[in-house]
Amino acid sequence: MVARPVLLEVVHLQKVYAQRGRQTVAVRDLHFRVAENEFLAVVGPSGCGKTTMLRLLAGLLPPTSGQVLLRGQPVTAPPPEMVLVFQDYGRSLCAWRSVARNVQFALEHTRWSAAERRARVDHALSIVGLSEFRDHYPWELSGGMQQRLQIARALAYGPRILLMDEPFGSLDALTRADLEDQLLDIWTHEPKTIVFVTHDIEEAVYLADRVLVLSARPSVVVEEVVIDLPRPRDQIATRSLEAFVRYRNHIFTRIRREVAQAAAGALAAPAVS
Amino acid sequence: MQRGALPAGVAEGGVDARRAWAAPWAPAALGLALRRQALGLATLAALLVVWEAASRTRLLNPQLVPPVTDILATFGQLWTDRPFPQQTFVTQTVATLWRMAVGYVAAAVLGIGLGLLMGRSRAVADLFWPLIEFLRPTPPVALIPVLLLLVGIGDQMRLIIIAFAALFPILLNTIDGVRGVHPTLLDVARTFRFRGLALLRRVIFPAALPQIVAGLRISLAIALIVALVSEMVGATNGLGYFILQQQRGLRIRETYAAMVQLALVGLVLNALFVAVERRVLAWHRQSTGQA
Amino acid sequence: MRPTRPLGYALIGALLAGWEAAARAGAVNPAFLPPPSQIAGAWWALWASGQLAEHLAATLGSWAQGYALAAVLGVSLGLLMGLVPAIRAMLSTIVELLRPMPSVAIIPVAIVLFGLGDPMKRFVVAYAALWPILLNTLYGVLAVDPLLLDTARTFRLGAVRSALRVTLPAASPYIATGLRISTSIALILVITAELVASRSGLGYAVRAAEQASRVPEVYAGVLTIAVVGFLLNALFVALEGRVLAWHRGVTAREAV
Repeated sequence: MVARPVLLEVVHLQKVYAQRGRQTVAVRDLHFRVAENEFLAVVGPSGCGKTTMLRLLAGLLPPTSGQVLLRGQPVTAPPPEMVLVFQDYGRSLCAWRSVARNVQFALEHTRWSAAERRARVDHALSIVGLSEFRDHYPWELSGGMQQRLQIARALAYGPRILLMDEPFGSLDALTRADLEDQLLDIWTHEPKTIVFVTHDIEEAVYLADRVLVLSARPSVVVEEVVIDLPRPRDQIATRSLEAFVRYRNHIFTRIRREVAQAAAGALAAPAVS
Repeated sequence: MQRGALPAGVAEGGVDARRAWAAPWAPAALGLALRRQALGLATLAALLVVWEAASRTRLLNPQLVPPVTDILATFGQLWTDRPFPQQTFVTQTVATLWRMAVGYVAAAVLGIGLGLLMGRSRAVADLFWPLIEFLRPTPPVALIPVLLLLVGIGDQMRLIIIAFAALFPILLNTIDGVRGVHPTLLDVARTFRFRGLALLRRVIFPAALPQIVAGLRISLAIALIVALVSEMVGATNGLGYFILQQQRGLRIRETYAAMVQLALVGLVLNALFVAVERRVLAWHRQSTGQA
Repeated sequence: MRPTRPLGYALIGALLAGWEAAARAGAVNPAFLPPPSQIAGAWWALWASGQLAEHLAATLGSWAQGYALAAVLGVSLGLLMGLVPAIRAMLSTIVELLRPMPSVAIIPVAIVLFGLGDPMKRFVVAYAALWPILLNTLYGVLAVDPLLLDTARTFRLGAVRSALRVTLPAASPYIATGLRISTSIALILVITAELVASRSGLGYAVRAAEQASRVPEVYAGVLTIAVVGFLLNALFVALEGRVLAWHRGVTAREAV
């Protein structure tokens, strides 16, 4: 892999929720770096604190200890260069705004002129293929289209970093494959750093330059797998490669071990607090 | 859940599939609705005919239950100037609606404003909550005698009591609506740098609007009721004053006619509200699949 | 809602203390706004004389009888309309025409029909309380999951038994909502009827005290009405919580 400058640095990040005297460790000790224009996927057993991690990265949640450094500067509030794309597209779109106005939503607190904003909205919609639906409302679109709208909104904002929280998790397999390829396309044409959280190991291997494997909650990075597969990737060709299957099996085994260990740990000490 | 209400095939088709899909059905649905209404209207007509006959044949005492046709004739007269000059339904209705509108608007402004504040701030909510908990179940009409003492018999008393009564549904629905805004949407808004007033106006208010409108709707009915009661006590005009005067003067047909007028006012206000609601909340009705 | 809000209770205490001080210092005219201590005294005198209990009994009696009538009528009519499409079609127009009428408009007509006594109050309460119960029952029945009814059919429950064993319990959260709304509407109506035209009850007592300028008694009466409203509401919420515990569990899980 070509050495690229580090953009995002996660330094011994920890998040503990205190609720009615009980403490829940959501993120124990996360430590990793993300390079400029890297496509990083993060996988882990369900409930491993992936969402908490992304909200910490996005500056939406203050960490209990440790920090997130963006170009060396600590993140304390949502940085303008970063956008988070949610799995729950239905709840992240404004139901009262048309498609175009939902994209416009991202630009209302930016410095661009009205004309530039219009241009950005048009461009973002055309990238995801929603131009002809600009006057429709989110509820008139299918799930896949709604998720494309959320991606268009993120793109219009022009972030350097895209954080994605299981963005295709609630879509059917075909729509999902379609959106994966669209995302890779966008990433190729407008390079940016992507941190892509998913519970789908194959999706992670298919998309990413590098895959981080998290432990069961409370999360730490247990393994880092560099995916050395040729690009552009192809749903059939890439997934048929022997290397692809090897990566997948390796990560799969690793995660299964994590889950088993977590279950054993839970049996040994039922009150994790 | 909410999204599930959308027929999957329709949604996948995208475009105007939904509208196009609905169109050919519209005439059939209309016909069905009319046919259903027809049975209802027939029942209503039958009931009125029985009433008329019972009253005409003195099976029902016409002194207490006048024939329907007499009531309707009186109702027609009361829209013109007879038999009470300056006391037509027009002037009385305007008087009532005016009071109601002033009190209602005051309640809406206060209820939505305070509701947004209480919905967003735990501290403000905690401060006012016990007071609201105690005042809310108080039947508002019970405060009329107190207000008569404090501000006298003038219209001030009426406006205050209407606003007070209409306040609570709006306030509580606004608080609920604000608290119900999904955290994901708030995260999205924060990511795109919405803060303070912009966050309130552009995200929280529209997201809570369906709930707020539900509160406004409940309050509309309450405001009308309380406006009428306030007029029954010491007013010199308004429909509440008028209907009670007719009863006290033993003008039975006029009493019934006034009740018909009140039903009409309620019906029209409700229809107007629904029409406005449909426009304002078109996105919500359709996004939750209530055609 | 959190159970303790010390600041909020402090606010109520402060308001009362401020009122007491203002009235004693003459900052407000005690002839119109007597201090709370004097109101408490008047309340106690009314209570000790037995007058308050008498009026309270009259109000609660009319309220309970009218409300019970509305509950029985509303639930049974709502069930019938929900289960039998023909009945629904026949009655829906009448319901739609009468429902938006402000319920207090019935009071003068009720006086014509029943005079000024308790039957008038009962009728007025029953009329006003009927609509929320009827409509919520109807919506509840219409909203029952068809799957549930199919299940009942596969178990060969007859129409009546399926209505009582399946439809009614499934619709009970809606019915409870209607019953809750109607408790407060019924109270508003009984107080209004007493204020406007009656010779008994708390509403009448307050109005009479106001016209005779027995000012502390006005406040004492209104306070009693407020407490009655508060307690009825609290009682209903507690009952609903017990009876519908299963429903809260279900909806809470869905809300997560």
